[in-house]
Amino acid sequence: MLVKTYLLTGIALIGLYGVMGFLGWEYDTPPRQSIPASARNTPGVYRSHHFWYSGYRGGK
Amino acid sequence: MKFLSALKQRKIKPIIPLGATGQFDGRKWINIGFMVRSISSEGEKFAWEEYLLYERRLGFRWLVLSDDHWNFVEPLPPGKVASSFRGAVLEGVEFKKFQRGVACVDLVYGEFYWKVTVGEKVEVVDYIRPPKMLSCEITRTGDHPGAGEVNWSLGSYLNADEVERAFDLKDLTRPAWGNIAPNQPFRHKKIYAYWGIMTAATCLVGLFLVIIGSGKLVFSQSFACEPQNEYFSEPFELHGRHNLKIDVNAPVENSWIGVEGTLIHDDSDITQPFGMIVEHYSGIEDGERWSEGSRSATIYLSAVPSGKYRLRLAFEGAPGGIHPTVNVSLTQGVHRLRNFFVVLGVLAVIPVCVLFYHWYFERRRWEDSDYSPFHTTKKEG
Repeated sequence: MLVKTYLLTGIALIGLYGVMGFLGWEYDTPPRQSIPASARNTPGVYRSHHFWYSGYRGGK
Repeated sequence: MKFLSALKQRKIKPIIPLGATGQFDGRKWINIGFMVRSISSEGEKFAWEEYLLYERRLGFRWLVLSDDHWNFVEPLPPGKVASSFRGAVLEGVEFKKFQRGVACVDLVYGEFYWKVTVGEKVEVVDYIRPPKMLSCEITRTGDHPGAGEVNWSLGSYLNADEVERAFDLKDLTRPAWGNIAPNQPFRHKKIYAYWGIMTAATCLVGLFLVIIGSGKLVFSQSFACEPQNEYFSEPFELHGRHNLKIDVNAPVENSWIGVEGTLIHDDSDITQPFGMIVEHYSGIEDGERWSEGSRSATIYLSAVPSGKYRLRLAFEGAPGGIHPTVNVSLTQGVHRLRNFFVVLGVLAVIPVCVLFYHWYFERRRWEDSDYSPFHTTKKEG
C-alpha cells in the first residue's frame, strides 16, 4: 500500500514538474491583471498598492 | 508461562483442526498432526506450534506457527545444504545463522511419520534469508558427540491471510506492531528501487527542460533610480510556453531599493505585475565583519501569451539614501533549479522514513538472536 502510494505520488510529482517546466508555469507568480488600454493611458494607473503601501521600510 | 497460559485459554486446541484440508500452490493438504515444541533459554520458554500436513504425491510438509507468524516448511534432501563461514548455503544462496538451541516436544496430537513422544529433544539451528528460513535438526544418538541424524528443512514465510485463505479460517491473530519474525520479509523494500528510478526520471526530465529552455536574454537595461519616476521600456517580443526570469542588480550598501514592475501586453489588456526588493547591509561588530542581504534579486514569472510587451518600472529607496544605478534584465525559458531540488527532496521523504523503519525492523528481527549483527559482542556456537 505504502509502496503503491509512493509510486503514484512520485509519478504525479515528476509529471507536474515536467508539465510546469514545459508550459513555463511558476507557482509563485503574482496574479495577472487586466487593464484596458484606455485606462493604461491614465497616469499612475499601474501603481500597485501591494508594494508601495505595504509598510516596507527596509533596513536592519 | 505466558505460552502455557495461552494454551490453557485455548484449551490446547489446534487453530487448524485435525483432518482439515487446505490448499497451497494448487495442492490440497490435509492436517494430520499437531505438535507444540519449545526452547528454553535463560529461564524463559519460547514455544511454537507445528501442524503436519500431508499430500498424497508430495508427502509431508509443516505449517509452523510461532509468535503469530506462519511458515510453510518443506524437508530438504540430505547433502543439499553446505555450511559456510557465516551460516549455511542452499543452492548457492547463503543463509545467516540466527539461533540455536534444544527443542523439546511439549504436546502431540494426531498422526506422525515417526514415533513422537512428549519430552523428545533435538538440537535446532536456524539460518535465515528472509522470507526463507533453513532449519537444521540434529537428533543425537549414542554417546559420541558426532553421532546423530541431521535433518534440514526450508521454511517460507506466510502471511496470516494466506493461511486463512488456504484453510478457510477467520480472525487469525496478526503479529503485533514490533513483533518481527526471524524470516519475515520487509515489505517496503521495493520503495528503494522506485526511489532510484524516480530520481533518475527526475534528472532526465530536468535535463529535457534545460535542453528545451531557450534561456534567451530578452531585455537588459540600466536605470538611474529616481524614486517616484516611472520608466517604460521599448517593446520586445516574448514567446508563450517559456517562463520569465527577472534579475535586478543594484550596488546598495546599508540600504535598500524596491522595484515595482509590470509587463504590459501591447495587443491585449493583460498585465503581469511583480515586485522585488534589493537590500544589503554590512558592518563590523565586536571586531567581526558581518553582512546580510544581497545586491541582486531574482523573480520567476509564469509564461505569458506570445506577443509584444513593454516593461514598466518604478523604484523606491530608503528615505534619504543614495540612489544608485539599477540594472534590470529579463530572460525567457530558464530552468528553475529550485523546482528540481524540491521534487528530489519530496521524493526522498518517504524512502528516508522507510530507511529508518527498516533499520528498526532489522534490529527487532535480530533482538532475540545470539548472532545479531547489531550486538557488539557475539556468542559463538
